[in-house]
Amino acid sequence: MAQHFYISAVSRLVEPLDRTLMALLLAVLALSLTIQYSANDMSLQATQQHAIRIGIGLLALLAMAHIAPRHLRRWTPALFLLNLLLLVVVVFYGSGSTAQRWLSYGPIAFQPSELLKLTIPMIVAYVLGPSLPPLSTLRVGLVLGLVAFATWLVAIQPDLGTAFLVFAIGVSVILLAGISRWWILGFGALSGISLPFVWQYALREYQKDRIRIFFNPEADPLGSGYNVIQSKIAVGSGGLSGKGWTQSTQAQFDFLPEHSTDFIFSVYAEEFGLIGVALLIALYLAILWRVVALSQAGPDRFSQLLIGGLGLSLLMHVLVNIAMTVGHAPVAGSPLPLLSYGGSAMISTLAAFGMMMAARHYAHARHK
Amino acid sequence: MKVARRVSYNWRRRLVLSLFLLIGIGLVGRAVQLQYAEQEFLTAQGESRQLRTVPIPASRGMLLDRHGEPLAISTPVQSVWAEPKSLLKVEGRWLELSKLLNLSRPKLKRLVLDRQDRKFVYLRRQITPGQAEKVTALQIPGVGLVTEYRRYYPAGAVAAQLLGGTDIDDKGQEGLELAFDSRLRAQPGARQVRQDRHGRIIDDLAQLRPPKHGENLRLGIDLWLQYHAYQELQRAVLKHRAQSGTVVVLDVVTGEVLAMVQAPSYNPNGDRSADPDRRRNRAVTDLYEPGSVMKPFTVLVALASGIYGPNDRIDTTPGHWRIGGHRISDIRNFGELDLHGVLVKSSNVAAARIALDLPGDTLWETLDRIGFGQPLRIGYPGEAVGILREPDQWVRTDQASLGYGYGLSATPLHIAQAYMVLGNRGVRHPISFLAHPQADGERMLPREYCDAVLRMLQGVTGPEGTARRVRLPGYTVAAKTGTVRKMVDGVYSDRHHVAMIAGVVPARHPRLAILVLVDTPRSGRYFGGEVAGPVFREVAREALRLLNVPPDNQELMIQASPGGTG
Repeated sequence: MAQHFYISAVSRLVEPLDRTLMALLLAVLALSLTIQYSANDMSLQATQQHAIRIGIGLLALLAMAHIAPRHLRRWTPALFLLNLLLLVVVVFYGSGSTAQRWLSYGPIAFQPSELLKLTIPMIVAYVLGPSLPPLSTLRVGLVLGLVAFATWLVAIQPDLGTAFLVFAIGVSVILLAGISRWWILGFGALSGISLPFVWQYALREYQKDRIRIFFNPEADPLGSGYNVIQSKIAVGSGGLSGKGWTQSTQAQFDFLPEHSTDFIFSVYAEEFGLIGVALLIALYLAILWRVVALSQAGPDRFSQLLIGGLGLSLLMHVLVNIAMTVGHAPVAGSPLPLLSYGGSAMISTLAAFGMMMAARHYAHARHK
Repeated sequence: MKVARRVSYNWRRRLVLSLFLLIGIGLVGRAVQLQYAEQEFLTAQGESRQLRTVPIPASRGMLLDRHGEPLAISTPVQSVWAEPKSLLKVEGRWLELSKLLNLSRPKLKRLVLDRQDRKFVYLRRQITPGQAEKVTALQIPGVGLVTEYRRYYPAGAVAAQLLGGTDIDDKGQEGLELAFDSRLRAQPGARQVRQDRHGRIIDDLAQLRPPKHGENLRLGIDLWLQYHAYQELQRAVLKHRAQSGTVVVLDVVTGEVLAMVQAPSYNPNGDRSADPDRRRNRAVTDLYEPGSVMKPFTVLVALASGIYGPNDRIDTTPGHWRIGGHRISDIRNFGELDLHGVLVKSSNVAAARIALDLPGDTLWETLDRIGFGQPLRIGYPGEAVGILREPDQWVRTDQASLGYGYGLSATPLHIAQAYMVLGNRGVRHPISFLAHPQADGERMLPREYCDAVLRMLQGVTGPEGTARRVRLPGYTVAAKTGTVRKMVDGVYSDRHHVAMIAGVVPARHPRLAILVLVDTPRSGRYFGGEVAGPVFREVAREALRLLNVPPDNQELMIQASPGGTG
């Protein structure tokens, strides 16, 4: 009896999990552990730390998977406001070496901007979910305003890369929700016009440098262009089949900066080569494909928009990060989801997958 | 309407998704480009940042004395270097560094700022092991240590000028260090290593070129004799408040330089800025008029030419002689002297008369054959040749003054060489700083007249001679003193002298030629026998003992021993 009880309890616990997506996620996480061991100079302690974060992330996934979308929707405004509040607190009390990005509470430190990857799709889905397209100007205006405000809070930390991502995620989800083509045209025009002004007045010199360097990294090979050059060397010297696990010279000899976080892809590419890169990108695309399937099975427009938005958010991070490491995007401090070292991103990413699974599970349950 | 809206929503979703898919495919394409098409180039770029060729230090050859005692050795020491770019980033740590290296902060800053575009700049060469340990402990980024070799001279001042020195890069600069530089010099090897960004060596890949250590050279010098000669000379130079002094000891049979010392000296291990007067090796660089020590050769030519026989007498009355406006004088009137007496009393008048009686060519040829006016051909840096004019340029006074050693110039080594040839009964072996030279000797003087002159010179150390202080129990000594008036402002001075003694021991079976020269004694005593003589005696005594030369004079031994029949 007792045994049966436990089995049923466990099966109830894992019931909302999507098996295909879980398998894909665990595959990427296994690669993550493997490459982190190598990127951290074969330190078991650092690898263990990474494993613990993955564990916490998986617990968060499991927890989120049990929250029905309607509960989630109810809590969305409060969560978003809380996130904005934390961002404001960061502006005044944050810590970090070059910019204020971190909030510390005892031994725990996390980046509220990472949480935006969840709350932005949530608030967009919340505002735009209830109505069918074409969406009212008021709602679109409101949600654009909220996204812009959050973006601004991140941008003044300053964390331009994340700000860009937050903004792009928000706009993409709005686009997905089905806004009028005039909105799109108008917004595109406005962006085009404002670009020179942003360059002139909003960007700081080092941010401008990063963008200049992106177009011409060899101009300053020891300064700002250094990261990209070293990263390209790492990726390129991987070749077809890679140098082998723990054999990355660029990372092991410290030529490649931030090699366990922002530039983890370069280490991976150097050690596992083109074959490994193809496998990893295939895994990410398979995850996206599964997310799209989940999104279509969502019980309502809030769930669909939420799953789609979270999926987009994830994919955008992946693409921007990889593009950066191969010299196709400016260097911005953004991690590679699921692969990079760091707790906030790992936990919020896995929690996002939990939400997606919950949305589908509860739709499924209701149909039954 | 509703359907249309659904379609529109799907279309946009597909557009966004395909856009992302396209970017994804684009990135894979980029990976192909980097990892396949540009792989070689990028791998080479990586290697060029990681692979470095670093030198393998090789040590300069040792200079050893004839018994293998080290005279010059290279010891590994550490030097501190920095990579300017990295060091500039940690200005906060400069204080510790400047304190440790005893290098002022502005100087450190200039050093680093001026060479920003270099990857290597020395901060402090050749620090102590203790300092090196502290530098390592500081762990300042961009600061490292490199092993170099520093020359050390165990004998210190005793052989300082002879050995010379090297510069900070271990290249010979002076003395024997320079003379034998090509053989002593080391060629550092090279190895290829993998370095990390901070310049730490991760991996030893290959030895490109093995280090070639310098050759160890065994000199003819006997360190103990050198030491002893230095002590005695130093004592005499101090006692007579002389400007300087030189001792040369040659092996007459082999031509080896057994000792070559100079006082005052300097410490070659510390004092890099020592007075140049103390640094140059006067035995080969400084020229002197030999004076009376040349008289034996005048007598030798007189005998060899057949113009004079051993018993012919020369009248020196009244003790001075005026010739061509020059006044030649003896210290007193010696009356009539035979050739033996000319040497024992050291009569200038007689020597001048004899010289004038000789054919100029014969006199010149003999002096030329024993090396005067000739390069020493020892390859020693800065060696002076000296002047011996040819007979067709002579006037009568020139020929007369040559007879008692004026009107020509020579280094102390030239003079010692002449006595070496005399001591070897006319056969000259090339002078050699290296031990056990193999060169053949060449006859320069007829043997029988060398023997005759050596016999006469024994009288100089007899009770009547100018070198009576130079008597050694058990050994016969053939020596000649010289007291040379120095040329000061173009005039021969009455107060500036060079006291000399040159000779051969043992006189019957010569082994050593010894020259002692004391330049400008200021104690009031200046006669060669008085000032240089005691040094000669002590050096000869020690040299004979060290070389295990059997005694050749039983009489004197018996006289000297307390239990003798006396």
